[in-house]
Parts: sequence; C-alpha cells; structure tokens
Amino acid sequence: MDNNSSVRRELRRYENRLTVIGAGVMALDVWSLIKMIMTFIGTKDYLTQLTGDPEMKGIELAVFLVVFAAVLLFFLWIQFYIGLSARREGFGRKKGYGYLVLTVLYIGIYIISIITSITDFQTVYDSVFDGAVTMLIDTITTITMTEMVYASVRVKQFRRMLIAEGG
Amino acid sequence: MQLDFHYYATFCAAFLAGYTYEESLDICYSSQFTDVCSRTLLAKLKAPLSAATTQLQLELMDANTDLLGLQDITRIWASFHFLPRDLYAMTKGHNRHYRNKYNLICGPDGELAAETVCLAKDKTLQAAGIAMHIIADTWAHTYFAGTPSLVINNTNYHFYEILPGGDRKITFMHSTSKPDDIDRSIYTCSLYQSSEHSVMNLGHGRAGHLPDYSFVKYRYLPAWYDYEEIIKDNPSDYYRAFCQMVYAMEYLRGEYTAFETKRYAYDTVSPYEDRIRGILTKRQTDSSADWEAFGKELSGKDIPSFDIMRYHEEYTDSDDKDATFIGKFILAALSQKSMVTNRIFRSGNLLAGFSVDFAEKGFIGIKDFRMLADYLGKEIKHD
Repeated sequence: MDNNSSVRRELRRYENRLTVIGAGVMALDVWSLIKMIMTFIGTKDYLTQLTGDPEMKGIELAVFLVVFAAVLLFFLWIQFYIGLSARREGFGRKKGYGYLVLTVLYIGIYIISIITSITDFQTVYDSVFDGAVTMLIDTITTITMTEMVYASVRVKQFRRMLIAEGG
Repeated sequence: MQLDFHYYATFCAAFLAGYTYEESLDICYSSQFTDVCSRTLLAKLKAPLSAATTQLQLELMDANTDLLGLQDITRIWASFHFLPRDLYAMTKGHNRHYRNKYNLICGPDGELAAETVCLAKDKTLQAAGIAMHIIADTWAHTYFAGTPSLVINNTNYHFYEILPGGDRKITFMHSTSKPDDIDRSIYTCSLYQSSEHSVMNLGHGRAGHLPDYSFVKYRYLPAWYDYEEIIKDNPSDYYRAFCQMVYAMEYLRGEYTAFETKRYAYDTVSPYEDRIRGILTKRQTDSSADWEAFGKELSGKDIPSFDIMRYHEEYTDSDDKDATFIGKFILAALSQKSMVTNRIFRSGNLLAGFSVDFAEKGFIGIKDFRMLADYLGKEIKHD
C-alpha cells in the first residue's frame, strides 16, 4: 500500500479542507447566534420592529417569541449540522449526501439573499455600512459552502477510487 | 535528542572511537552542555551572551518575534540543534520568502554537517562535543527547521505510531505537567498558534518530544510536504547517528584525513550492535540508565551524572577564562555559530541575519565575537 500515491495524497488534501471549512461553517453559525442575541439586547424597540405590532403583549408575545426563536434555532442548527458533518467526513467517517443537499439549499438561500440585497438595498438596510458588511459575509459564506460541497464530492470520489484499487 | 543520547551515548561513542575515559567525559559533557548553555546561565557566569547555544522556555516566552528577534532565535537553533541539510534546495511554486525557510530544514549528511565536523578538527574536546551534539540532532530533528515557522514546522492530527501489531493514532495534548503516556501514545506538544512566527512553531515543538525518543517509529504529514506522508524511523536513525558520531570522532582523532558524509563506523560498532539496538528500541522515555551501564562496561569506570554546575567555579575564579572548560566551550560555540550564520547569509538567506567578513571589513558587529576573531587570528576570515 503506497501511502504517498497521488490518490491518497489528494484524499488527504481534500479531507483536510473539509475539516477546516466545516470548522469555519460552525464558527460562522455561532457568530450568527451571538449577533442575533446582541441585536436583541442592543436594538431599541426590537420587539416592536420584529412583531410589527407595538400593542402585542402577554401570551401572544410569548408565543410569537417562542416560535420565532424555534425557527431561528432550527436554521442555525441545520448550519451547525452541516459544519459538523463536513468535519466528520474530513476526519474519515463515511457520510451520505444528506448534508450536501442541505448545503446546496443554503447556498440557494444565500444567493437569493444577496440578489435581494442588491436590488432592494435601500429597503433592506438602514445604512450602507450594514448592508455592505452583511453582503460581504453572505458572499463569503456562499463561497465557503460551495468549496465545501466540492471538497466533499472529491473526497467521496477518491475514496471510491481507493476501494477500487483495493486500498 | 535528550540527555540519554547527548551525554551517555556520546560518551560510549567517544570511547569506541578511541578517546580515553577522561577525554570521552569532556566530549560528552560538552555535548550535553549545548542543551543547557542559555543566556541566563551565561549571564550568571558573566560570560559572553552571544555564546548561548540554547534558549530556555522562559527566554523563548520573552523573546521578540520581530525581524531581529527571529534572526536571533534562528542563529541559535539552526546552528546547534537544527542544522540545515541543504541551503540551496529548490522548490516549485513557492516564493523566495518561503524558500528561505524551506532551506533551513534540518537533516543529516548535509554539507553543513561535514563543515561542522571539520570545524572541530585540531580544536578542543569541547568543540568535538558541540559537533557531536549537532550531528546527533541532525538525525533526530530531521524534517524540522530551527526557525519559528508554521508553514514548515506545523503538524496536524494525521500522526500515527507504527507498531508491530498495527498503527496506532497518536494523540497530542498541550499539558506540560503531565508526562507522556507512551503506552497509549498520548504525547504533549506545543500549543497550535496560527501566527506564522510564533515560538510555538519553532523546531519540533508541534510534534512534542516524539523526535527525541529513540524507540518510536511514526508517520505524519509535515506542513512543507504537500500532504505527502513521511515515515520517521527513530531506532534506525539513532543507530546511524551513533555510528556517524563514532566515525566523526575517529576522523577528529586523526584516523582519517577527510570526513565524508554518508559514511558510518559500522565496523567499529558492530560488536555492540545488538546491545545498542536493544537500548534504542526499548520502550522508555529515558534511556540514561541503559546507556550509562553500557558506558561503564566499555570503560570499566562509572560515568558521573551530568552536573550543570561542574565547571562554574573554575570559570568564575580563573584569570584566563579562555583556558577553562567553559571558556573553551564558549570559543567553540562562537566559532560554530559564526560559521553557520555565515553559510546561511552567503546562500542569500537573511533569516539568520547578516554575517560580516572581519578580514575584509574589519571588526563590525557583536562585540562578543571579538574574542573569536582574536582567538583565530585577525588575518583569517572570521568563519
């Protein structure tokens, strides 16, 4: 068994990429959560902006917040799961295509978000700076996730080649 | 390498090369002293600080990693512990900045290794000891560079110990208080630092003490090798290191007219091969007791344990410091550092700083080296 065959070397390269990118996706996810909490604490009348109804109080407000938080955390958990799966695959575990399908969906969402930001900039963002930074991060996340999909596909390819070689 | 090889094994090698018991002690003491001669120790002795052959952990923590600080660190570690194998190695697809670091990668049987041994010819036993330390380390520290560099010295989770029953994954933990667990392949290493020039990325810190254990055979991915795996066979490398040291010391004693790389004193060592390989392959973090016993069998006398303070009083009380043990060590260290720094500089690499030719330009630079210039004679080039 040649541990330095070109197939093994490239497999190691792409596995390493997957672990690094997976960690990056998880870190971005944690940052998104922190950002949301900071926005919630730091923005005046955030609840009013969120609900669109300054009169909403009591149980109605509580239910709204619970549902809102659940949806947010669900999407954050999906992204965290994507990063975790990428890292696990990078460390040698066999993973299916499920997390890749989710990643492609996320890429689609981010692309729509970027396009909307460009076409409706004035409506979406309060300031040019906020808008520019958000678009930049969305773009970087899109590129990162695309690279992750590519790395994962290559890893699967090389592993099949190794099995075919009997390695 | 560590005390077991630098002190006790070097004694054995010196004795087998034909040195007397007392001479072998001087050589092996100088070899081990190379690992403890820090600026802190020299300051205590009021000795020239430029003769430092190592840096303590606390000194490294305080060390600057700006340009001048990096050059200072590189001068010490590349000269005494990570002697570069090929200062003119070429790489594809890398810029000059990367190549300068790549060319400092340590390895045995390089031109600098031969120059190191030749530099000690017709010099003191202390010079021979320093040369033996350096030669031994070229084998143990192969594939690492004596300059802080993440892109050269980093390792990752792909680290496996090669065992007769099958490979076992090595786990690295940054826990300096806990000893290495060799039964479960859990070793300590330096903390990961993403900064290129962090001192955590100096030498083999990222691989912990693994290169210094004679028993271990392992495979890993060095950062500079583009995802290709390297197998490091310490038992085999340490045996060749021992045989090369014997050959080098036979040359220094005058048995040969020239020193050649890739030549080893297998014939001299062969009667003891099984014994030596037994020590090298024994699964233990410290082989001092075994080497000491072997040395005692060879010489018929006890080998005193290494005492860092043994020659301090002689040095501090003497009026002619250059004639003392530590004084001779200092001159040999300055000479070695001067030579290696000059070779690195002449290769177009500024990672070890500038090197001045005293014969052409007159004396410029660090005043500690004035004593070296005086010792060698001002007509002779400073290297």
